Amino acid sequence: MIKLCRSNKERQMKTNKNKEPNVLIITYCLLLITAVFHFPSIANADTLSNGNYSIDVGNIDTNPQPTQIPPPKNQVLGISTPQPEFTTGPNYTVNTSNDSFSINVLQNTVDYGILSSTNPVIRTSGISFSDPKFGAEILTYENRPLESAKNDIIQNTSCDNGDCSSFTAAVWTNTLTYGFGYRCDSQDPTLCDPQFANSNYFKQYPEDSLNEQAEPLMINNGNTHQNKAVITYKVNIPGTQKVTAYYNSITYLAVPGF
Amino acid sequence: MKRVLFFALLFLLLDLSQKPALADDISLNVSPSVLKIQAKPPADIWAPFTIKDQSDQPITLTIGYKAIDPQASQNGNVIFVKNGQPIPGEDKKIFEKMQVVDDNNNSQNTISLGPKQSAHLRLHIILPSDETNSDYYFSLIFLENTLGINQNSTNNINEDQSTSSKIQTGIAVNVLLAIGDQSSIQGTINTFSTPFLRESGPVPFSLIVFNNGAHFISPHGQILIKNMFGQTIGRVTIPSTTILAGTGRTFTNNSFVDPTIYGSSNTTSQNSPVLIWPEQFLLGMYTATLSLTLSPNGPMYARTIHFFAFPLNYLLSLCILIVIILLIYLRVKKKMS
Repeated sequence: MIKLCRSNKERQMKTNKNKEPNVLIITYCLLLITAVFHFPSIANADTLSNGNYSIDVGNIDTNPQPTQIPPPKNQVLGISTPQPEFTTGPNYTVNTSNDSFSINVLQNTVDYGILSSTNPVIRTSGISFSDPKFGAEILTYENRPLESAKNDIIQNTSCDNGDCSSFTAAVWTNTLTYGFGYRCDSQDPTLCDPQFANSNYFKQYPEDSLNEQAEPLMINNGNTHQNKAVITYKVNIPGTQKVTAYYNSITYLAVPGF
Repeated sequence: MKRVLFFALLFLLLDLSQKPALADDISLNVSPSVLKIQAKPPADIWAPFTIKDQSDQPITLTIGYKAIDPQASQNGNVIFVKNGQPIPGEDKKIFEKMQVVDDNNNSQNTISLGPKQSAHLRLHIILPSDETNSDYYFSLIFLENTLGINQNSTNNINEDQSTSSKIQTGIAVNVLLAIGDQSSIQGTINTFSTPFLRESGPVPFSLIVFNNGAHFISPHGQILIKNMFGQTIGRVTIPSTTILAGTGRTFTNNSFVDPTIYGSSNTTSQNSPVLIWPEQFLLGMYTATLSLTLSPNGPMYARTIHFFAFPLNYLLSLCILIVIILLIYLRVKKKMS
């Protein structure tokens, strides 16, 4: 019995020895792939060229060099620094705010999927803008209500009490209230319309096809650094609504203050 | 060996999973955000600015102009003139005298930007010698081209009956254009006030300045606060802002959003637009002197107000403390005797 066990163990050890090189090769390959994918990005070259020029540098010293720190300038109270003149020409002067301003919308399409009756679809997307010198706002409007290729329309919501519009928000929780609307949420309560402080309050988008004026979605007067908001879109259709694809376009226009 | 293989696999898995998630975001940047142009006809004006596509996908933008309603936008938040209404100002065809040009002076109605690409553009305005004196306030708008996302087009009809909204992104540069002689600058300080009696700080100052002149102004100034001994103990810098012609502006250095701008009557969570002096402990009579210069060439205005601070709560607490100590002292003295 003992002999039999020993012979089994010896056989196992032999097969393990045969497997070991294979395992080692796989391991080395994996480590090699990992290493190759891990350090692909930076290539420091000492020759730059194209069709018109070539620059050869003997060596590139990538060590950070000590830089001289300029001495701090004394600020004199009561005297404000004059704004730099941007450009001038004969008979005119252009002064600028000397800043930059940006908008960032996290999605270029909001997909509601296939709609089913009395089953509200809720989607969210992020929107932000930079903090310009004089504040900023984001104006919004839709080109038209959600509309199918055969001109079937999902109307903008009028909320549970029938009161909401493009400038008045109202509660919308009833699954038997139909339409399309939005709300805005931000950590800073002054950024979005204060009406959205109440949860489940929604508004309609102003309709460009009806010549309605764009409405402010977010406003920053330059005194808060919180410029991010989450927009919640809600669609709900009745049983009589044709189940097909509906489309519209929603515009977010970032306008700086002055 | 199995352990080594396991860790190698794990490391590979972690490494592959760390790749950034690519979203279909749109990001646009303009610099500067405001162009203030003062011109005397005839003038050939060139105002440079830059627009950048900060996202990872190409974008085509349509360039347009939209007039600002000066009365509705007097506190710095832009409200456009309603659709169909004429643009404010003498020359109703002022937009025909301007164009956006590229580095080669080619006029542009649309601009295509690749990922991370920026374009240096110039607003070119030609004012003839007979151009009437007036101010024009407008936004130069760059709106994502929606030509390819026309929802009526059968090309866009999704076969899986999926409903969607296309997001169109846009960005604006404000242009304040003053045409004519800049010498006649007139303004009035409509309001400079603070409550006369107060217990403690911070102190709010209401300041409303009206621009009576024909052109926009950018006043500079400060409020100096002196105590009853004549020592200057505080200073509030008036933020540099623009007052449009024929409008008043409420100055503020605190967080304020005009509730009416949202079209709602809900004002419950709003602050009032004021200049704040953040001093907390106040005692006695104070003098606040406002110095305001409407332009680098003047005129300069000064106005003085007084307010009195008496920390009633602190003094009441102190009195109660003294009374308690006195009572304890008397009781102890009585027991001792």
